[in-house]
Amino acid sequence: MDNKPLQMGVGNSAFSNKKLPIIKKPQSLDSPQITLSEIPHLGKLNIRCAGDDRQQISKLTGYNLALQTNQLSSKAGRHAICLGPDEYLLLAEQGSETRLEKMLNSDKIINKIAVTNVSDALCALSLSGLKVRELLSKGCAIDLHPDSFGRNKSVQCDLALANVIIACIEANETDEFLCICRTSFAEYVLDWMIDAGYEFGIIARSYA
Amino acid sequence: MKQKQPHRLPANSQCITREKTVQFTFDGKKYIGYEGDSLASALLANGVSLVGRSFKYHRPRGILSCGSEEPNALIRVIRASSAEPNLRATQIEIYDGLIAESQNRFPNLKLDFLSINSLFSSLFPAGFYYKTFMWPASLWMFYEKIIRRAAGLGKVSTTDKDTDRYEHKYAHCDVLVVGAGVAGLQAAYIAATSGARVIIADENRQFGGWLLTDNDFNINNKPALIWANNIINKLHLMPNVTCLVRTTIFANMDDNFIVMAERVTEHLSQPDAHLPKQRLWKLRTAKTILATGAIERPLTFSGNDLPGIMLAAAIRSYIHRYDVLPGTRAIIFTNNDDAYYTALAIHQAGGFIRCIVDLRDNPKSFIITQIRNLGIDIRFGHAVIAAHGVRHIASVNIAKYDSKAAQPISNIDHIDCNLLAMSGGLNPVVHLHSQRKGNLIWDERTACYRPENKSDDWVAIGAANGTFQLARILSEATKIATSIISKLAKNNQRLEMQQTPEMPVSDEAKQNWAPLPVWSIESAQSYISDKTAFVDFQNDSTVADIKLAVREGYHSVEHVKRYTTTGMATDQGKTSNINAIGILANTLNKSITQTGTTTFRLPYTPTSLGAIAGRGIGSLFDPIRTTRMHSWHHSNDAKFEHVGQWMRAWYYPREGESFQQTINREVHATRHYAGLLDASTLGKIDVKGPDAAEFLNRVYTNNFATLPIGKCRYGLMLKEDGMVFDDGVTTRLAEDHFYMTTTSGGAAGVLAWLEELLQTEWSDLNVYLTSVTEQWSVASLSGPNAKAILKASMSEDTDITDDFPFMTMKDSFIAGLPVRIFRISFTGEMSFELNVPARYGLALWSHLMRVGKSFNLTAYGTEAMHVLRAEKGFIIVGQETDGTVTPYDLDMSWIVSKKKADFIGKRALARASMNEPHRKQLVGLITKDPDMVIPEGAHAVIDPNKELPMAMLGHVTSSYYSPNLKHSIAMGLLKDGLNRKGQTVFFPMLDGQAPIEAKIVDPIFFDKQGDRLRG
Repeated sequence: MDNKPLQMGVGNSAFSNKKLPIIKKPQSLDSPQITLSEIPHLGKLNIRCAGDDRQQISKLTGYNLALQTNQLSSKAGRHAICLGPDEYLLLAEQGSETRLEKMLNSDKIINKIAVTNVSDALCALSLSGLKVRELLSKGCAIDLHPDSFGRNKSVQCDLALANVIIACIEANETDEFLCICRTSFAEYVLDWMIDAGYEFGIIARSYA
Repeated sequence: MKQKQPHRLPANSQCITREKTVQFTFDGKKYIGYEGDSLASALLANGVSLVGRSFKYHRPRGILSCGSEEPNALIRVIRASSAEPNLRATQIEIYDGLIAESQNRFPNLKLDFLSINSLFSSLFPAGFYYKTFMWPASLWMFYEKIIRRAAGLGKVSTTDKDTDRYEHKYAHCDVLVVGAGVAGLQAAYIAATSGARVIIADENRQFGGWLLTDNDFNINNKPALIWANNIINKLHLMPNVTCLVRTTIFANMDDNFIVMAERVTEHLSQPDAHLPKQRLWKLRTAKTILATGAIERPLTFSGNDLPGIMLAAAIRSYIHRYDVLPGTRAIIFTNNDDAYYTALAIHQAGGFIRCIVDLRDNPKSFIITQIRNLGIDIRFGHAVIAAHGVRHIASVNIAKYDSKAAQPISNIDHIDCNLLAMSGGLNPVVHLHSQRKGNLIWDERTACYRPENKSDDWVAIGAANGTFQLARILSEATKIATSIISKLAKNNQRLEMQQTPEMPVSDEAKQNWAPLPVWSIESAQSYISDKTAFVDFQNDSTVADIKLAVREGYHSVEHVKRYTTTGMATDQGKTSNINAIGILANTLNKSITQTGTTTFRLPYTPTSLGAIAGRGIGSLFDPIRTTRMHSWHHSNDAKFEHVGQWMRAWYYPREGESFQQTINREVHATRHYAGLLDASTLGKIDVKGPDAAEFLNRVYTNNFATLPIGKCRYGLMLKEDGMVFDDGVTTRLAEDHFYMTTTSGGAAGVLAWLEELLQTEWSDLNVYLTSVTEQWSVASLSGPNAKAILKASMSEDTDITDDFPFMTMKDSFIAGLPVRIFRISFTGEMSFELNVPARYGLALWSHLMRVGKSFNLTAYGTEAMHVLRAEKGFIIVGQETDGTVTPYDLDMSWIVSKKKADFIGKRALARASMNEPHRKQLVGLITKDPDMVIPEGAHAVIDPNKELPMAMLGHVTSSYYSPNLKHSIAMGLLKDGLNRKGQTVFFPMLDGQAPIEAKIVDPIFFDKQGDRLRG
């Protein structure tokens, strides 16, 4: 087997064209108030299912799918986002998504389900810091005030000219948000965020 | 540098900082002002009263007002980054180094060549512009050049780019309060104490509204400004309140969508680079409270546009807010009590009131008595008939005036002066109410239009509602804010209304607010002309213009507006509209209500295009989507083409190669050896579920129910009207799992349409759709050597190239990469579409290019792809089709199932009109001259020598030079085309070249039997 090209292309970082870290901040600030990074190599499964199957899937996978639309549940670094009444996005550590996919597809109890691996189709960004909501509000028409967009809230919306999923992982003085977009929009979203974050100071760096 | 400001009063105002002097330039001359000054106040302080030339007649103009309604003092501000024209001097804040210049004059303000226009004003009557269209028609081209040069107001930036930063921001609130005067502050405070999310915004640099000018009232037994400052401080400290200054709410739209422009740094000498010049707020609010105040009306008399003639309340503002007395010998001309306060202010500031001219016959009030006791000359029942002066007011004619008969009834007095304060009453600022189609009611007592508060979404309070007395304003604001919050609290647990909100107590307003509306002062004197009695200062329309419009048959207020252009300037007639309606009503002998109003439209004040564009400029103008192989294309000198948002490799020129040479080489190589195309942008949809086959059977015209596992099938998708919507190859991966491909451009639309069908029409079908367009990278390997290259790229144990028939699919590995291979073809050659998880896209591509080197593998771009598929007569949906083309029109009846019970579009295809011979049908076209490529879009005619206009047969949809056939080829949609094969048609050319002659042929130009593609 010829391994050489495989090494060249492995991974699905959408930021491959960028030299990180990128820092943009007002002169008056010592350090940026927003941190932005891609969560690379994240396994992503799109699940379409209905009714009773949800319980069985939750039981098998350990994800909690008993969610309202536009909600998120997190457990041990794994997230489930309810995108619609019958649609979920599961985020898992790299590699585990194929195991989950196989497990769900071979289960005999589940009767109506579509499991699709979208790990490479989507790109996940992590945003944290004091001014994250303010940054997002420059391109997102959704009300991001903590009263209406608190912890574990998610939404599919436009961010400037890209369609994204936004989810609030932590809502406190240093908010943490997840922003998921199509991979081909990732560079645009990154550029847009760095530009929008200038006012508050932003650092785009590789994921810790 | 110390410089005298001759009109500056001793320090008194809190609104300017006397310790901080500011140096600025106006028309090249340096001046000094203070921090807090507007350009208008600073110019007046320096004794500069001539600040611009009018639009049409180039008449000298000064500062009329002190707010955003200013029609005259339009200024161009020049910065290093850009220059912005048509800004109002009354709203520009001066900063150190401000460079401002006047407009519409050449060579300078004092000596303006085009002021000659005013001598020929009879040549520029109402409707002048339209009249030049009418007669003589041949002269319009001549007029146009001259008019274009003279017309237009202000010059935009002379640099290429506006380098300033403009940003956008979305926001949400429970209550938006527009305007931070008495009414707005009280309403905002009440709303805020309930816990509601409140935004209060004001276009001025500080909150307080007219309290900043009129500071002689008490609220809660203290000066009103102390009450206001207390509220302002509280609002700033409340976390649920956003206070915005320098912010104009310019649009009130449906569903309480509000747009406002915040001027963040443009008042600063050295703004921080990270802050925008302006920020455009896009706001959703549950309720809007309009506390936008009122605008004073000018009075209309001959010469009323001379510099030195100002709105009375504005003069008071300059005295109290800016410590500036614009003139020392003043005439007050009024129809109400308010101007008496201006008289008092001028008097107290040391000015001399020559006389007060009051249109009313015998008004009585506290302030009149107070003024009379000062020994000031007051003339009731009098009018200013005319004002005189060259570049500044120098004198007026005054006479006793019969306002009913509209004529002077005494000898005319001549009085000299250098300032005239005029007050014709107040107009509530109803613009934001009007923008939402709110009704207006004419109030006879206060002589103004006030809003009819009928909407649930917004309500006007205070002066904006025609309530002009302080005590009433406070009680109205309290009452209405309380009721709004009570309503909101019903559906919102966050909000809690205090039972009895604190009601501030003020001393009852002193003035008797009953203006006597006299819309224009008429006179029979030969030296007094209504051609200089200006109604709309900015567009130079006069009383004479309105009368002329009526004489010429324009009676509707909307017609008169357009014919005279009254109210159509950048100020949208803030000071002129109501006066114009009054004059029109008088001329027509109708009441104001019968005459009606025009509609105020957004924006409230002009908004810069930069703010509207925001950061959506340069590289952020539109996302650019690239595939995972992009870096390879880039480093191999590909030229790219934009296909929607995708950036696709178009062609790969070698050094010295022209476009056509490159395409010829790529096409030739693919036909003779092998070519590799990045097809990753193809739309891909996973179709899963027990009913997947049935679903596909309904959306495609052909049969998918019987498609065996591992087989691929090309399908056409129609909309319900029977027209081709999309096409692509769909493959059955398992009994309940299909992999659908769509056109690159149609991917999102197809998914949305199919999802809609599943959710609304066929919710009984157990099928799920998931977009996997970006999950897979696709390399299309095509050509006689394709199979050999594929074989060579695989290890022996993963080689699946044998027994791999056309239109089938296999899973395997290439260099360890999991790959899904489809043996389908868009070139007519033996082809393999290789799909790998996107992360391996580049690895796969590079590997194939390396392996393929010894097989003459050539990367080809989208242009070569087009030629290759056109040689085979393969259609591209969106190129050969345009939403009006059926499968029959494409001569593809073979793909329309006769057996299936139903599919989308079937019923429409059965309509008789679908088979009518005049339909345009897809044909091939071969030019007589083999090197002549017909331009795409060219129209076909039978006889190019016929008289114009000639009937057209149809048009060319695709056209290329085919290097394999050594001949130009084209496809086109021609009327009854299928029956015309063998006929000759012509394509007349726009540029005068001879028409191109072509023969109608079958669109399959190459390998008709398809032997090459089956291999």
